[in-house]
Amino acid sequence: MRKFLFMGLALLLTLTNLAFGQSRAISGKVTDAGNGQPLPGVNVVVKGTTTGTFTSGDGSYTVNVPSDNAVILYSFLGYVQQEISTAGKTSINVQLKEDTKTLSEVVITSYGVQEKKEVAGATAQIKGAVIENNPVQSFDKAIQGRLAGVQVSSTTGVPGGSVQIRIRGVGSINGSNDPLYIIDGVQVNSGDRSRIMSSSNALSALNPNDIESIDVLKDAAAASIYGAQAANGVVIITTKRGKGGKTKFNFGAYTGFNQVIKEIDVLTGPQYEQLSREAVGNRYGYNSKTYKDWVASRVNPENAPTYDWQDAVFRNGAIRNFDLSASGGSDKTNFFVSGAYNFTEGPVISSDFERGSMRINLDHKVNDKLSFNTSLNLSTFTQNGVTSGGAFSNPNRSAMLMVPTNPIYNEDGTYNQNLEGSYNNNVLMTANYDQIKGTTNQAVGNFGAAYEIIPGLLFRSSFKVDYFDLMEDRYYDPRTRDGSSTKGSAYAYSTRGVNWQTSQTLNFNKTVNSIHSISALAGVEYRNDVNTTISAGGQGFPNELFKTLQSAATPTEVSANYTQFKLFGVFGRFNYVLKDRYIAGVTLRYDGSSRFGDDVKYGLFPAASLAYRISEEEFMNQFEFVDELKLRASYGVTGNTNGISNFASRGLFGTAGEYNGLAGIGPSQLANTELTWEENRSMNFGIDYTLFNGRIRGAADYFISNREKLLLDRTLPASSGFYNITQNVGATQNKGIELEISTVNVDAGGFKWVTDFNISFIKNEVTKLLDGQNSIGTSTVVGRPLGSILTYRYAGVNPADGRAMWYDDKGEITYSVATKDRAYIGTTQPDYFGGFTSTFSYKGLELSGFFQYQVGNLVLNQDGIFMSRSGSTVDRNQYASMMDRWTKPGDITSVPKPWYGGSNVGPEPGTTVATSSLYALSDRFYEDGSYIRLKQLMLSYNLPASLTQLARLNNVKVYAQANNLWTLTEYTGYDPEFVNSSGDYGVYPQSKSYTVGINVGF
Amino acid sequence: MNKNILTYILLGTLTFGASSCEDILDTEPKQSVSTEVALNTYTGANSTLIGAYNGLQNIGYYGRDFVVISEVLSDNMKVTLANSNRFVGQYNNTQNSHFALWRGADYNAYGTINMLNNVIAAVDNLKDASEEQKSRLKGEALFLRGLSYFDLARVYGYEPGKEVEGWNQSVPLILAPTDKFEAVTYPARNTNSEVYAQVIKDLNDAAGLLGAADYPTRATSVAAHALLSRVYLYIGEWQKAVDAADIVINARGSSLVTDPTKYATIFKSATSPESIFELNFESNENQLSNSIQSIYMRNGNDPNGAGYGDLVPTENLLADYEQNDARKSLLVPVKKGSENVFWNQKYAGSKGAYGLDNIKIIRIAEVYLNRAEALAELSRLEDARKDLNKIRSRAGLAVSTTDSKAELIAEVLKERRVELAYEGHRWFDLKRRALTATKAPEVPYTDYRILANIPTLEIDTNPNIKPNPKY
Repeated sequence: MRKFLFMGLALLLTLTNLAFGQSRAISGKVTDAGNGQPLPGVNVVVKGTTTGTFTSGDGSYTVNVPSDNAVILYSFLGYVQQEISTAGKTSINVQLKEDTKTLSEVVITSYGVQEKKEVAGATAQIKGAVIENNPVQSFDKAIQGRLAGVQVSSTTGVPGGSVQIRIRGVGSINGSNDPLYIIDGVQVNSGDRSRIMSSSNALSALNPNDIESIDVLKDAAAASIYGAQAANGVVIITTKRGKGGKTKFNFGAYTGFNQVIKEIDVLTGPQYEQLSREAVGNRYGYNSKTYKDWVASRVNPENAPTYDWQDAVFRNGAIRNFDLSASGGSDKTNFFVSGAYNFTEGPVISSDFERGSMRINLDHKVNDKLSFNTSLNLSTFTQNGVTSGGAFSNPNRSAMLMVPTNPIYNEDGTYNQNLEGSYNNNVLMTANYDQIKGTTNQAVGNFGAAYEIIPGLLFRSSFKVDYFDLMEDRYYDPRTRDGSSTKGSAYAYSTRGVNWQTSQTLNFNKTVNSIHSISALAGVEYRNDVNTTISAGGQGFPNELFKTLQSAATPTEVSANYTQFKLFGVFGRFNYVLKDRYIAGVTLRYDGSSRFGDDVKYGLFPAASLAYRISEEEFMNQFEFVDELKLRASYGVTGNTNGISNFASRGLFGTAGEYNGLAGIGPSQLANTELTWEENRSMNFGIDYTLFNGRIRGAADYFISNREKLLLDRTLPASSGFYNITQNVGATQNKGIELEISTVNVDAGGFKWVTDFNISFIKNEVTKLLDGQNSIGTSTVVGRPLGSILTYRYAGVNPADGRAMWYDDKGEITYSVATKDRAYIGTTQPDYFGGFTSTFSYKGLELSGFFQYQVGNLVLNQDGIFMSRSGSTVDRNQYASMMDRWTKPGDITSVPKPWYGGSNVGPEPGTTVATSSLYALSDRFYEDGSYIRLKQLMLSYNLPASLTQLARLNNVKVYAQANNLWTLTEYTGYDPEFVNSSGDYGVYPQSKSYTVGINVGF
Repeated sequence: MNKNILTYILLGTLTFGASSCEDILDTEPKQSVSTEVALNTYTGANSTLIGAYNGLQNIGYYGRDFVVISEVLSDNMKVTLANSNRFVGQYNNTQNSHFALWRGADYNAYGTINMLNNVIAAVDNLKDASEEQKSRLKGEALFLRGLSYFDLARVYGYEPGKEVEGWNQSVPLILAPTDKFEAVTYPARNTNSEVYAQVIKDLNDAAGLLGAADYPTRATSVAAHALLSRVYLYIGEWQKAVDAADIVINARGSSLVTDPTKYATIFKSATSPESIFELNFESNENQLSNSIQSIYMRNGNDPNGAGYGDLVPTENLLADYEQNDARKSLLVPVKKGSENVFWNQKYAGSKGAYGLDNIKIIRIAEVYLNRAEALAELSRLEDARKDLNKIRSRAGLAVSTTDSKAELIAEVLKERRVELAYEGHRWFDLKRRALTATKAPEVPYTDYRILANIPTLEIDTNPNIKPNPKY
């Protein structure tokens, strides 16, 4: 039997040999010339044939070559291709060098891939590997500071909370400034979906470790293929796909903990009592009965206890993350599958985030012409939260404002509810008893097929869905302060979105005589987005054991809502490259949106770009240090449809109460058939460079983007029956410079030091409002940037009598400010921002530090207004810095003397004169929001291959990292990073985290 | 097989592309409907009419403010010393504290008028409505529009013939629906004669179209005549006032409560026996602390009960109550803070819940008084006395016997003040007779504050609108 088999095999080999002549096998291993690590997925092809294979997980390969003197081509994205003759060899080990001309990278759009060297628009890319294992719940947080022109700011520290991304600044006044997000070709809804919770980021459904790359399209030339949705830029997320070869597994795990970046330094019990005494004594006089009664009724400052409420509500929150992926394939089928679990406890009690996700990316080639590509991500995540903002039940805010002499627990161990002061909600009890919970189930899928009609002409058809269902539950426990008046109340809110899309495209690529290279794209796209909500609420529960609405005695809310929009677009792109150096591109998109008026539903979004790879010219040969030099210029128009309600252009009749038991309707919105998208007309000039054999490379861009037809509310005569209508009338302008530079500072003896640096300067200005209108409120003013701040100017404390002083409109000292005394002091937008990374590597060891910074913006420290009252409102705790208050003539300080009630502060104790409140809003509370932060410090070690082979593993990496470890700022509140217009008022604080992890490939 | 798949894909694409680009973007809201769709059917038009009735219930209009402000601007009611800071500006006749029907904080009368204009424009084109349904729809809409313009005219302008320094500007008359942005106009103010003429036309048209269905909580033919009798009084068309009142009294005169001991039933019944037209409020429309009851009295006449009880009759008004006046039964003495005051019981939760009363817009007693005043002006003193004495007798008072026309008119006005006190008439009755509000300080008829201010934003937005003198 065995013999028979052997015979058969020998026969087969003979036949094969007959068919292919002198065929023989060559095997070997491909490694990275830089670090010696095996390179899986390298394309190994016999030159001049289609015979070939991919290297497997450990970099090894075997390929049959037809003749002795065949040549094998080894190619891999990002590496220099190598050709090696097989003559006289049976084994070939290859070391591939990283391509220093990394401009041969590709730029990805959902309609196809372009080589970066042929792209004339402004784009930026970050590899998934850079943000891998970063202990954040959504990738958008991890790209902060990594890309020039992309400003990422947190709006909250809630685990799984939303993030704000601004590409090339803010431009829209009433519309949205969020970019368009595309995951594997699917346009997904982003932003905060929560209705009960404080924040729930739609992008948290995606496991960041599944990401292969993130591309950001910044200027019109790059983004206008997305037409009416692209004015705020486009963020394209591409997930990992199988690259062929032996199935490769990757297991990763990390664990650690997080804690608040800082706790606020507040008064101790004795200090609190001391300031309170001074406040009463200064106001009423130290010999007054009022003061003596006060002293008699209070504990002596020395004996006052101190309870640390912040310590009680903050904790070290646990972080755990596991993921396992498998990828591989054959010449027909490639796959990538992954499953992941993340659990992150917030640094504030009772708040956490838990996600399970799985992904299947499958590509199958039916034959040379037809192939299928599918991506599917299924994900569920649950957030438990606490209240935020100004609510008394907000744990982190009330903890710092709580009168410090209030015990947290009674002597019998129960929660103390008999609390002195305005912040009299036992937040520890409320956070532990109440429930704020949201669960999101999400599916994002793309099913596509591609067919090569003739060589170079590819038809691609895709059907896509972005589905989510968010169920939120809120329970006010009947034992808590907020729940007791209603005997407990509960709310259940459901939010569901079905966002369905399809695109059909034709791609054409042809190179003629190696001189003319043409690529063209034409396509149609359609999107139908439906959002439905159901809300229910009730109150009156038997007791705290009953938490669902079924047990509520009285329903208080029953509501359902439906909304929808549709988009339809036809688009084309034509690129022409002459001699690999002159590049011209034109993009056209014709887009229609159901949101707009009948007359203006459709619009044309054109863009044109030119690029010149000057380094290809012969006269450049004299400059040997120049590897690559490309000049770029572009102009184009993109649109913004977001932030406009789905039926904003319609004349609408809505419900209008009832009469005699009948339901009424009435006009609720005036038809505006001219309502249309906002426009971004942008111009970009850029340069891409690689010098000194890749030791220095980067890009520089200058842009002007004029936002026009911005939505503003025009007041109507009320005699029309309406008060206002939204119209496209405003305009703003952004001008900016972006610089990116990466340098290899040292590369010797296996030691390498690389730095990456980026910086962006953006100047924003409101250029037009309604006719004859110069400002909307005080923050939107023609000639000034959006977010301008008009406020009073604090002049410090009068050393003679301790009273707060301000400047009046003439620059003179006043104690009583009037509206005229306000002045523009700055803006909430930074002058510049960016990040830099320094990476040191030696053999498998790598240490990298990543800093992120922004400079020049003002942040309203709104909590500070409550915490900087010199103890004058004797009902809340204060910053510890209030101990610097003025106490006697001659004291130089910025903290006024305590004065009960805070206003009408007299020069002497017991005297009263009319003054402004000593803690009146002024530039004292608009603090410099500049900061630089060590976002990530990571030490990792790749075990040498010799070691991993012993355990039959391909690679093993262990690492330890710290995030948000260190911050340099003069800001006194929680965090200068928060961008909410009301500053960081009661915002859930951000955390710093410490994690250790391991990645194993096998 | 592969060819088949390709065929399907291409076929699908073609089918998809073949549907027209217009259809492909069709969406319809579900909480709201498009204007074109809303008024295509009888139910849609009728629901819009209901929306207008709902507008009348707004607390900025008959729901509270329009009734209450008339009493405090004039000399009928005062704000107690301890108060919730409501209506203090109006009581002190502070500049810009007045009625606010036009771009008011709570109410914009033109919003309701736009609903009515929509109904009136749509009614003739309704395919699914009977002629009877159309008549009623149009009639009710015209009645409510007439009422709305009458209220605007008496708030923002002088009555024709009573102009101070010739100021005859009233409000802009908008009679066509504003259904799209292009339909928004920047009108100037019409003259008071023009607006009153339109009011009379709308009410006369309504009277011709309406029957008696759903009396008295919906507009009826009788209600239109009753309102006309009041409107004619305002412009001194005495004979027409008498004619209109005759029609009402012939139809509904017997509903007058004649027994002094039953006087309170007019205000303590869920639906008033005397109502010609009243606004119905269902329990889910209860305005609670924003109700008229809340501002006039506290729940259960308890000084610590729910509500405010801030507005109480002035001494000047109390002095006009004669001895043994049965209407005093509606005044309950209470001690509010440091003051001894009366809480009136005309809005006392007659529908069984605190804050819930139907609001009487016209009742039969007023129509008798309208006719009495007009007859007296026409020097038909005996007929006038007869009407006046009906009201006096049922209040348990001695009959009037005066033979002086001037005295009789004064008596009718005094009777009107007491009979209709707290119901939103006093300010306008003083104004149309060019009388002085006797309070400290007085507000004489020539004072600019007789007319309400037009909001600055409206004047800024529409340069064709001239502000009232001295505002």
